[in-house]
Amino acid sequence: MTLQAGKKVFSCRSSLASLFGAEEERIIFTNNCTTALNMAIKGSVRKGDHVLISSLEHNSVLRPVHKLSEKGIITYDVFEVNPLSDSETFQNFLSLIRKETSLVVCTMVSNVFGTVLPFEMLGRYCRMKNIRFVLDGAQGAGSHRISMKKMPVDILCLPGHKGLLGPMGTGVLILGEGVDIESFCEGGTGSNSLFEAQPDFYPDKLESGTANLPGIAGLYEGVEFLKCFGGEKAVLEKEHGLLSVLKEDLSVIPRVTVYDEMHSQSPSNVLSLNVGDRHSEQTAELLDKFNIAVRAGYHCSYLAHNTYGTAEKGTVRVSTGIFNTKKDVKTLAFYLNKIAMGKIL
Amino acid sequence: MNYTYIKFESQTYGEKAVKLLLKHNIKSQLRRNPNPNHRQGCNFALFTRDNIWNAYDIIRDNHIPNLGVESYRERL
Repeated sequence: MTLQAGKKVFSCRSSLASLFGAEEERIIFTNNCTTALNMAIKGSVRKGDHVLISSLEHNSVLRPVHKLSEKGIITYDVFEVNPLSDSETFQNFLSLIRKETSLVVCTMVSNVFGTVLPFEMLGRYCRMKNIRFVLDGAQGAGSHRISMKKMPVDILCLPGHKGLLGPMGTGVLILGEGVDIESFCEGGTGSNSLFEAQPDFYPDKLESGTANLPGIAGLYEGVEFLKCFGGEKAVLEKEHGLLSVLKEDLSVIPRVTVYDEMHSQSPSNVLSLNVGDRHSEQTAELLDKFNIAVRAGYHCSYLAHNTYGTAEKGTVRVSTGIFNTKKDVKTLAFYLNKIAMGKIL
Repeated sequence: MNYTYIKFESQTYGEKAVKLLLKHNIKSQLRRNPNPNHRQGCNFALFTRDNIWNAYDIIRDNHIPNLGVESYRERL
């Protein structure tokens, strides 16, 4: 029975490896993307290192980096992302590179504004300068193609429950070829059991303790479904298409602010907005009355809201999924209009 | 009963080997190591009805970490 369970885990590893162009043994299962990012960051740095992160990072990047800095282990800087100019973003990034810079952590798509970052440009520079490049694929995986073989990414961190359609409480860390990180936690791996030391081979080096088998089995089904749906291209086409319909409808509604200028040229599946002077939480609460689920507040991204001046009210984030329909976005626009007109209180 | 198999420390590498061998039209199966005297705790054994050395060559040439070919004679 345990072998069958192990086979299921391997099937998921294998499925993820083919989706992201990685080696099976370099697919590491984690509890979530936050754990994966903590493992990638804390397992990569040494005392005296300098780390660079973008101004659109989630707290799961900012907080571990900040904690390491508080402990006096590293120093860090934040480079500002200009959503309208990749070259300006790159210049901002270059101006903060130091000779001690050993790690760059960058989100692929902002989880607040849907901005797609020029991560390949940054990654190429890092590879040239021998700086480790960690990509936070939380918002991009499943809807944007990521290949560890073709793209200059050293470590990729992913949640299982977003674009990969798996259950909550699953995450993945993917190591590029030749990339080695320190173990984050040590314990039982089911291998080298008579030795005191943690195994030095992957995935065992980074996977201690009982695996979340039901979660991993669910993640496998999610990834397989994604592939059957037509892969990332089909997903983005559908999700971005729905968002375009929504944007068009919202453009004629007064008092609805769409943070569209935060979108780069590249399509994504996330849009932030606010209605009049209302706090984003109030708008979300009103929408909830009509069974419309959006995410309001600060989206665990202090940096993004602080950088783009939305820290006071937060934003209402709309993210489209493959199971949404045109009718869904039309209904959302209808109720946003009513809220804006003050007809729903 | 005499068993000959390729031994793996990790199921991940064992399963990877099974998948690789299939691409070379060699059917194989991963089981628990049948040898009760093995010293590494739990590890895995790859069995095949094909020539075990052919399978081993493929696994070795593809750099899949393994613990080599092992035989075990079961006492009756």
